[in-house]
Amino acid sequence: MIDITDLFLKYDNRIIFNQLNLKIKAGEIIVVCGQSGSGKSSFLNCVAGVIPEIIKADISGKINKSCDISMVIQNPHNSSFGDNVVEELAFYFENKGMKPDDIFDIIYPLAEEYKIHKLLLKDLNKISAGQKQRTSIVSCLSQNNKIVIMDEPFTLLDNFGKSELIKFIKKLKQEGAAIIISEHNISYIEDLFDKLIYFNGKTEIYDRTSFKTNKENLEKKIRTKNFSINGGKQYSSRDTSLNISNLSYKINGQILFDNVNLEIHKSNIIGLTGENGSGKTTLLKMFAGMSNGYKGKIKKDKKICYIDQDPDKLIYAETVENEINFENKYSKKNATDIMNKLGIEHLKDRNPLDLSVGEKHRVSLAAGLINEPDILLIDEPAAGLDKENLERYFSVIEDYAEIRGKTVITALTDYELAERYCSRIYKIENKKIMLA
Amino acid sequence: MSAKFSNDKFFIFKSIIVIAASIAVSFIGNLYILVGILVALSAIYKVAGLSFKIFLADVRIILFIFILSLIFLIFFKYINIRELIIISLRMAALLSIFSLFIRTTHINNLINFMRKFCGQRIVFALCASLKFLPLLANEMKDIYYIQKNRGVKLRFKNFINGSYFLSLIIPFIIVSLKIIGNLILTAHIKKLDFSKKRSSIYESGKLKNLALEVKETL
Repeated sequence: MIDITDLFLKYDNRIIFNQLNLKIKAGEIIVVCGQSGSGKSSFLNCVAGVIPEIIKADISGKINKSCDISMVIQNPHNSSFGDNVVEELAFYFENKGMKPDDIFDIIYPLAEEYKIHKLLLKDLNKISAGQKQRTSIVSCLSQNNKIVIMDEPFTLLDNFGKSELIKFIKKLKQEGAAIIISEHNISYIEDLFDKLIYFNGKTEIYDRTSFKTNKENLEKKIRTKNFSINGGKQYSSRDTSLNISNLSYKINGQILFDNVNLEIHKSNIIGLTGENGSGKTTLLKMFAGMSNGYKGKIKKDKKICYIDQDPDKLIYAETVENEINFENKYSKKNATDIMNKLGIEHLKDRNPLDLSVGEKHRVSLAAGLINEPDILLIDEPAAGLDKENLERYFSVIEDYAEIRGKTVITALTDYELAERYCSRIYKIENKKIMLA
Repeated sequence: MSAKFSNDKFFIFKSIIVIAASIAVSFIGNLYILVGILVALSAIYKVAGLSFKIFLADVRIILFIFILSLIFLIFFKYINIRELIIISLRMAALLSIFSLFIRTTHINNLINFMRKFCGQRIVFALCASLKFLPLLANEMKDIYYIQKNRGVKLRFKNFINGSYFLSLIIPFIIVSLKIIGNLILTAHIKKLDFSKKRSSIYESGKLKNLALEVKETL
């Protein structure tokens, strides 16, 4: 269905891949892995025709496709023309001039199956990132094209979303679709894929047999089912860092939190988990003072720092060093120490905007840590981070909680990560927050 | 929402009304008539299912311009206060007319209408810019709080200092570019450039029934 011959791609004088040859047959699943910034999304964009049609780059070689393509793009935020979920789902079919009732007949059953049918008339700006991701997936699948490309589709999904997506992928495979998925964590599709492409300066292609032979080596770089769960370190501090009493919050007329009470102690890494749309990010934003209008009391330590899923919202300086030690406000030694711990010391003179997503995430964490906040709030730290960067990221957070005695609260849809790194896990369910 | 269940003819009629009202407002110099128009516009917002809070948010920028102009006026005695109030009210009325138009216009109507007169590139640019501004407004709020939380002192007096200004403007530009990139990508993969006449999901009887059910449940 897809025949790639001698594909060459070069960006900003950097060769992303060279002489890439690949044949993808009907019913095959291809997984694309590699470090952040290694060229996974570029490869998907080449196959989708976005490069060179939309994004200009130095490209040569041939990609022959036998049919149309559907695609789930990496960032579900800010990528929709519709105002609400139904407009977003219908957009493709409206562009094709399909009859309105026929459009409804296509999108509604899929939306129902993926449990977003109750969100159909909801404003896209008022649903969670995970719900947007589900919308994006339903939109892609409803197009019923035989080539499906998905760029990190599992990242923001809760357990239900993940298991449903796996079912959809299996169904597509049975129906003879060619599927290309880019992922840092292949554990969800480890038993399903036919070929694995690993980008890391050079391109390595594995089939099932060669994957099994090289699995031990690959597991050092990719998250598989064997991503061991050690359990987060336990700390003994009884000093309260954050206390919520009788917290209630309504959004768009619906109750999100109802009379919630919670006490969080210092020297802890708290994992906030829950279904998509349960209110994880909203709660973090309430703690950070970014979301008001709630009833009840939030008593907290004074110095708070919020780190967003998107590091670009924080970056503004000319060099990494200036970004971390902005306005030379902090001691140079502190800045160097943090950079060393996060493995970004060698990048100190680089412009942070030129870095890969994983590197930007670490710069953004360093910029947050230098101010030594009493409470560090991190929204979905795993988004876009490969295994190596993820481990480094969390080891710094662990030290910050343990050695400095500070509190880290992180919103995580990936429960496996919460189990591995958090000292306490809270689940948001039925408008309450409870210990998981 | 109900305002979005509309057809092409209604869209053309609405566009003519908006253009005519905007021209009329631009020539009105009476303070009381302008206040009356603003009151009427806030009532139209309500009829269109938009709250008074949204109306206030839409004209908020005019209040900011008014205060700045007032400071300017106090220092330089350039125009008189009555004139300033009239200009501000006129701008508020124009802004809310356009805001109301955008908020109650389904992008389909706009695309179909524009396709009759303009090329694909212009249609795309217009649609992207209409989507771009509200998306950016959401992100701007986040950027402000993220910088404030990390310790950048975002006080009004500090805006004279370039770096504090940069801490907002650079992420703002980068996020803007990302939004544009994402919109272009979406337009490409969802075939916005398809040559056929677009349909509208709001013409689906089944969706209208669903909307009614949701309304009854609420």
